Amino acid sequence: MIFKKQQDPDNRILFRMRYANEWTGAIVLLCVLAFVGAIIEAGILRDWVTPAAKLNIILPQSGVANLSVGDNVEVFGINAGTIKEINVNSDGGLSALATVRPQLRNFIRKDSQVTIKRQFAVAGASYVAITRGYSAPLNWNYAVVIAKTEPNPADQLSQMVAEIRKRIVPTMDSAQNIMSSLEIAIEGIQQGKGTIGRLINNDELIRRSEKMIQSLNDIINQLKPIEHNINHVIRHSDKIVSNFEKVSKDITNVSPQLNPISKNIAETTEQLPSMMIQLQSTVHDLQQLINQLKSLWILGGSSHPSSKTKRLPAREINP
Amino acid sequence: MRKFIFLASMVGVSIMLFACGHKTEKPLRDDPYDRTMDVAKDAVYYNRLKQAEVNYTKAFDLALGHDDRNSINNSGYNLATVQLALNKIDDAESTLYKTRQELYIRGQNDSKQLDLLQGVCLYKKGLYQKAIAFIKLASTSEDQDIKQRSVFLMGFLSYQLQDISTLQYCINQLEADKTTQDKNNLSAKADVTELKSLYSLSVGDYQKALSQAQQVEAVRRQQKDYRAMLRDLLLQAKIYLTLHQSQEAARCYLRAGETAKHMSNTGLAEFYFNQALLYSESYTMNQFARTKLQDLQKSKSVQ
Repeated sequence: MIFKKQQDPDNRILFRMRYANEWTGAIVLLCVLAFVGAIIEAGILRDWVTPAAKLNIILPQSGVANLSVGDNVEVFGINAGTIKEINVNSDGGLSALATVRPQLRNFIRKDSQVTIKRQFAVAGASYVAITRGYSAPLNWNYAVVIAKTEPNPADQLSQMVAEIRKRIVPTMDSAQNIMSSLEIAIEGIQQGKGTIGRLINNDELIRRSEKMIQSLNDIINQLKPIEHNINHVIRHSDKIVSNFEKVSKDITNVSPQLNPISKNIAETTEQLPSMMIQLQSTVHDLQQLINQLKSLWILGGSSHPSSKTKRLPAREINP
Repeated sequence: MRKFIFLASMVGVSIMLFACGHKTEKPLRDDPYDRTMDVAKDAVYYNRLKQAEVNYTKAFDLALGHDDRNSINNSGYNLATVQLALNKIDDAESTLYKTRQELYIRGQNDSKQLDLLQGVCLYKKGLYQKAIAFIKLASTSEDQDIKQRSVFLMGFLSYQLQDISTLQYCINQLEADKTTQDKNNLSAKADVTELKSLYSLSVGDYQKALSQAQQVEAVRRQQKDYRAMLRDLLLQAKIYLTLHQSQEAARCYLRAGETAKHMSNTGLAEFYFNQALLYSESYTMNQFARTKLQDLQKSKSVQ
């Protein structure tokens, strides 16, 4: 009916499309499908579907270093989430609940170091820095890590200054004491006290030294006549030495004969052990011979062999 | 003819000499244990007890090396005997303990000869009851001389414990023994007489006791058994003191002191000289004892 009305020259239809509504519907459907595909491809849906991982951070007892709700959580430099809550536990400790991007869960492990830092070392907003871990993964149903506070360089500096002061002050005191002692000692020396003081202020010692030197000179003068005798003794010694040289020459002459003598002695001594054995054997034989002779009845012995026991007779035991 | 008779008699004598001798076989090799034991025995014979101790110690070590139970028993016994003679009671006890241990390792649990020595050690420590228990054990030994000595020592100890019936029993036992009946065994006879003297002393027959002790002393001197003679001199001194004859007792103590000095036991000698000094009644005896004591002290200081 409609198409028939368009055949009217006054109301002539510019484009005549059969199934136009169906085509429109198909294009709309295509657009919707393309949109859904794009969303899936971009991962937005996945982000929506996958909930953020929750990480419980046990904060140090010394303080939270101005950490507050909304501060960032960084995993090896990447912004990974934020602090959602800061709680006070029943035992008096502090803990923070942070949400972490689920993609970064794999990097946070049991050996990850968690540090509360400031943006510009000593100033700026606080944030939690987590290093990459390599050991066993955390149980993400209830993941817990322990945080520590990065030492404040300003505090370290002041501590160092305090320590230096602590060491320098006693040293200064000691130096002061030494100086005062030195002052007293110098005063004592100036007043002529002690050995050094007397040496400096008293001429008596110098006079004594002079006398001593004089005495030494006298002794040396007295020794001069003895010098002649000493020279005489030395001449005798020279003679003795020359005689000794002669004797040593004689010994040198004799020494070639010493070698055969020592060789003979060595040969003789070599035979000594075997000679001792022979001697022992001879003595044994002699003893046997004597025993045998003793056993002859003609010499007053009996043919009964003597007792073989080596035990001492009991009579040797005396009360 | 004369020559023939002479030659024939020489041949006859030679044959007789050969016939009378007995052949001794040489052992396969030298035995240092036997040699050391012989040397030690000779040292005991010549009264060189320190040398004997050294050699018996060596022999004991050799016996251990040879793993010979009998040798260990004998050398340990000999060593302890010599140590007792040297008055080293603790050393003797230590030797006995070591010997018993070594015998136990080798499966021998008792040794009567060691029991006898153990008894003497305990007696010297004043533990008479324990001593007599060990000596009674030793008296069951199969070795005749150990058994005989045990009976003698049991009698001696019975006197110390004033057990007169046991003393009488020991006298009877020794008298019945074959060795005592042997007329040549004067030492065994002297042992019996010594016990009889102790018995007489116990029952209050002092004169008889003295006479018996003097008899024994003479036999001991004849037998060169000076340790036993010393014991008899002390017995005489004791009897004299009981008879209130202090001067005679002092005389016996002086003689005993000299014998102890001769046996290098200066400690005992000093004690006996002091006893002589204590009981001397005359000036001469007193001076004599004093001089002896001074001489002994001088010789001690030189050593």
